[in-house]
Amino acid sequence: MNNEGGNNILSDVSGLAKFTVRVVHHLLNPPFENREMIKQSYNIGYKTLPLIAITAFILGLVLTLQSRPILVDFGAEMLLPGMISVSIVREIGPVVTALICAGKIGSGIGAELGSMKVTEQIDAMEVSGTNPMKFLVATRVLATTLMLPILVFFADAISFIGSFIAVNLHSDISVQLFLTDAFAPLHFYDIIPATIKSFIFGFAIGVIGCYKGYQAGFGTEAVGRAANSAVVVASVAIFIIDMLVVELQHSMELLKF
Amino acid sequence: MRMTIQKSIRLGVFIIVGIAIFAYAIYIIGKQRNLFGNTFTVSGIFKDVSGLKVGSNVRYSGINVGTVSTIKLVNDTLVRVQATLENKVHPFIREDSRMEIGTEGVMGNKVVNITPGSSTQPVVDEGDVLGTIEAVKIDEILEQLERSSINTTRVTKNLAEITSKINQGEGIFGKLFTDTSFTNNLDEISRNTAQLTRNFSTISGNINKEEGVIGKLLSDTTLANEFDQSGHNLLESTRELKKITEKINQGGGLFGKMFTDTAFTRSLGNSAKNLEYTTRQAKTISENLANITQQMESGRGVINKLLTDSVFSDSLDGTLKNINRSAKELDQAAETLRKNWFIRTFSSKKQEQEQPEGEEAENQQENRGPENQEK
Repeated sequence: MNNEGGNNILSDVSGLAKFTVRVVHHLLNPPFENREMIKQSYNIGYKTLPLIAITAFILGLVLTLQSRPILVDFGAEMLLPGMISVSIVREIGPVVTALICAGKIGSGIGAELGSMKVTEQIDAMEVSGTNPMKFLVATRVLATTLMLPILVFFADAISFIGSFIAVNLHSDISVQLFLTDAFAPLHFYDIIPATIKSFIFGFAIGVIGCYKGYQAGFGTEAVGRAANSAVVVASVAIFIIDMLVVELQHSMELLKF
Repeated sequence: MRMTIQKSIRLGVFIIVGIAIFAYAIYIIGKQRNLFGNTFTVSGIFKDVSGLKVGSNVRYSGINVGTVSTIKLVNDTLVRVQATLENKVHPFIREDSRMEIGTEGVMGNKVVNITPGSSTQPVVDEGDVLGTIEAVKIDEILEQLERSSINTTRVTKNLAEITSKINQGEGIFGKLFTDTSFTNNLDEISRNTAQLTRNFSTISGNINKEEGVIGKLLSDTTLANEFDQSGHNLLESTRELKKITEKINQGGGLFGKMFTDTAFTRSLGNSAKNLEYTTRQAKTISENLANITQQMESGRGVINKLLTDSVFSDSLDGTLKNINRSAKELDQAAETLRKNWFIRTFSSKKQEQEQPEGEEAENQQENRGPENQEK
């Protein structure tokens, strides 16, 4: 709260850590702001779905078309659905969804909370007896944490549709066969870590967006700065988390889960 | 802050559909990994699982019916592979079914194939150990391929050396292909061989046609008879001669006395010597004959003439006839002498009269001997 604009990366990290502890504390301790949480879930999940759907569809289609020539060279065209499904479920689905959410939701939260901070609404809320951490931050963080995995499931499913269409552009494959081929290489150690990863992405987007909004300084330009840095930091955080989760995934693979 | 019912419903549908997608994925994967539904386990013991992994597919008649659930080392050489199979294939897996480690495609994942057993065997129980068939290892195949390719290299190298030698005209084949004089010699040899065989064929043809001495010898019965006759006559005359000499030795009669003196004995000795000479000559003849036959056997040049020259055989024939005739004449002369001359002169001593006549006959024969040889 004392660092204006978050110019110092070390103070940023320590501030974010303290903020995260406070958020987790409020998430675990009642009372819960259920109505606000549902409203945020609607805004974050449902309203992001069209964007995610378009992106995922195109991603599945393009990825399939781009991967196809090299598999054809190997005479392994039949492996195309499996390859696409593994890359989408493991990596591309969660990461692309999280990045889009970081852009849309993270910036939204940062701008919203930043403007509330700039216009001193948060201070007013505190005065009126509502805990802004609980009402504003905890609900948003919970909403992003819960909605992002669901968005990822949608993204995976829709990109499968895109992939199916792309495969059918060149060859003729039934939906049943496509699904069999697509699920053939998938294991639980593909889906479970990806889902866990999605929760962490959602949590990170919410926390970073809220933190950046909460940290906004004074003046209207602070709002833009808060929104901007929320997207940047959230995107970087997504990649860092992704890198860490790969290790988790790998160890799960070794355990043959 | 205002939440309409519509928004709540939309959010609910969104969440439910999202979770349904997740549940579907989990179910599909779980179904593939046999987490749900009834399963049973069988195991097999392998020496080498060649990269089989937990979770690898198990196939029965080419259908995926389960997965490998555990791979455990039993001891230092044996690996126990346990497979979890769907219950629906349980009735088909018999106690003499076999587990085998195969590959999906050429370079694909390892799979366990379970071969169908015979229908007379009982169905396996939960946890039974099936017999196994050791997998064909790609490594071994490659190793064998390598070995055979080394051999092939060697063979082709040798072939290359041989052909280059042939090209350079080394060795018999090289000469064959490049050296024209060698070929010419070969040509000549074969031509001579052809000639030789032709000659042989002519000879045998002549023999069959009773031409030449051998032909006559082999086929002319009269000639053989003549030989027989002359031999017989010779025997006869020698017998006569023997009788005469016996009488002389006994020294009976006037002539007996006359001829028992030393001068007579000396001349008789001479004639014996002559006889010896004759037999020696005869021996030489037979030796020569032996030589001739030997030469015939070894196929030397002269034989051709001998075999084909009918003039010679005719003359031989004539000779034999002459021998025959002279022997007969000798016989006749001896007879005549005994009957006429000696009877006339020494009618009282018939036995002693024969002596000079015998001498004469002897001389006659001696004269004929060398004559024969000359021929």
